[in-house]
Amino acid sequence: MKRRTDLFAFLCFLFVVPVSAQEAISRTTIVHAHLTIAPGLRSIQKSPVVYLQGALGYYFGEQFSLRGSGWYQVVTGKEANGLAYSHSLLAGGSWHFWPKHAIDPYVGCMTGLAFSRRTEPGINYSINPMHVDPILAPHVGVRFFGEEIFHLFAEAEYVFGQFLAPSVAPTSLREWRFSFGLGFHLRTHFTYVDPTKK
Amino acid sequence: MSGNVFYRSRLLSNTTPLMKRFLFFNALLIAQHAFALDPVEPTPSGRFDLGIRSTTSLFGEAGITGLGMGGQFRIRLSDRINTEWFADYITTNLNDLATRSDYHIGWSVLFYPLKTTRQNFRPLPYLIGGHCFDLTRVSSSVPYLLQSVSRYSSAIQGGLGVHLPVHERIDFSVNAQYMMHLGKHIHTHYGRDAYDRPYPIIELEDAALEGHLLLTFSLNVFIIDLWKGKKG
Repeated sequence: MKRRTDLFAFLCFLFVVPVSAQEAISRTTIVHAHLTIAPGLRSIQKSPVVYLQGALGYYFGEQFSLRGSGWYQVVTGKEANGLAYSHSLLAGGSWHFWPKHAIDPYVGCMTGLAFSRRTEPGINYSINPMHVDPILAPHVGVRFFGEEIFHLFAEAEYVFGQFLAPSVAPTSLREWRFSFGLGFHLRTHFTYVDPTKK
Repeated sequence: MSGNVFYRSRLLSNTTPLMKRFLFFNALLIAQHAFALDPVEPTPSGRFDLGIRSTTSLFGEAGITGLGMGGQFRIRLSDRINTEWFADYITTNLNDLATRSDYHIGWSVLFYPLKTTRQNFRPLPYLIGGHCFDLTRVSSSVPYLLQSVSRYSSAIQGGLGVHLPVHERIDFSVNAQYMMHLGKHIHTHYGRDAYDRPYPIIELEDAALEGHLLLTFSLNVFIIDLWKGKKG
C-alpha cells in the first residue's frame, strides 16, 4: 500500500509540478520528430511485435497538425499462420484539444500502406512474397512540451487492414501499436506569444 | 571533368570558416523560402491543393467492404467549380477465398451550390462527378489454386460531399460516390472440390454495368495559388 502511495506521489511530482509551472506556449509552425522502439499487439499473434518507429510532423496551427510516420518491424515473426513482418508508411493529421498549452492531448487518423509477408509453414517464400496493402490507423496521444526543443510523447494507434496476397490465405493486419519516448521540435517561424494569454 | 573536380576542391579548401557559416545560413534561408507557403487568397480560384485519401468500397460484389488509400490534387477553376485528380488502390477480401484489387486513376468536377470562400471557415457542401480508368484484378486466395483474372476498364462516378475546414489552408473532406464500371465484369462464385473444400471460380464475363459505392475521406493542404499573378 505504502509503495503505491509513493508511486502516486512520484507521478504527481513528475506531471503536476511541471504543469503548474507552465506558461502559455504557441505550437503554431512547430516541426516535430521522433524515433523510438515501439511495441505492437496483433490480433492474430500471441507474442508482441517490436518496431523501430519514426515520425515527422508540422503544426499548421494551434489545433491542427499533419504528420508522416514509418514503422519498421525489427524482429521477424515466426508464429504459424501469422505475419513474418509488416512494415508500414502512413500519413495523416491530428486534432489538438488544448491550444497554447504545454500538455497537448490529440486524436487523429492516418492512412498508408503496409508492406507485409506471411509466415506460411511448408510453403516456399518464393510463392509467398511481400505484398502491399492499404491500411487505416486512428490514433490518440499526448505530448508534453516541457523544454525548448525536447518533448515527451505517448501514443496509441489501432491499425485496420488486411493482408490480401494472391494464393495466400487472407490475414488480418489489425493491431494495437504503442509508442512513447522523447521527441524534438523546432519552431520554423519565431513569433511573439503573450504568456498571459491562453 | 578534371576541371570540375579542381574547381570543387579549390572552392572548399579556399572557403574560410566564416564564409562556410555564411553559406550554411544562406542555404537555410533558401530552404525556408522553399517551404514558405503562399498566403491564403480570399478568392479561391486558382488554388492548388494536395491531399491524401482513404477510400472505402461499399456494396460492391456480394456487399463486401474494401479498404483503400491514395492521393489527389485539386485545381480550383472558379468560386463554384473545382477539379480533383486522384489515384486509389483498393483491396477487398472476397469471403477469404479470393482477393480483389482495384487501381483507379481519374478526375472529378466539384460544383459548390453555395458561394463561399475558404476564409468563411464553414462546411462547404458540393456535388461531385467524374470519370476514371481502372484496373481490376481478382486472384484466388487458396494456396493450392493459382488463378488470377484481370481487366482494364473505365468508369463514371458521381455523388455528394462536403469540405470541413480545419485550418485556413487545410480541409478534411468526405464524399460518397457511386462508381459504375463500363467494361467487362469479373464475376466470382464458389464451388467445392472433391474433398468438400470451398474454392473460388473467377470468370471474366461480357460487358455489364457493375458498380460500387465509394466513401472517401481526404485531407488536403493548400499549396499554391496558380494564377496569383493574373489576379493583380
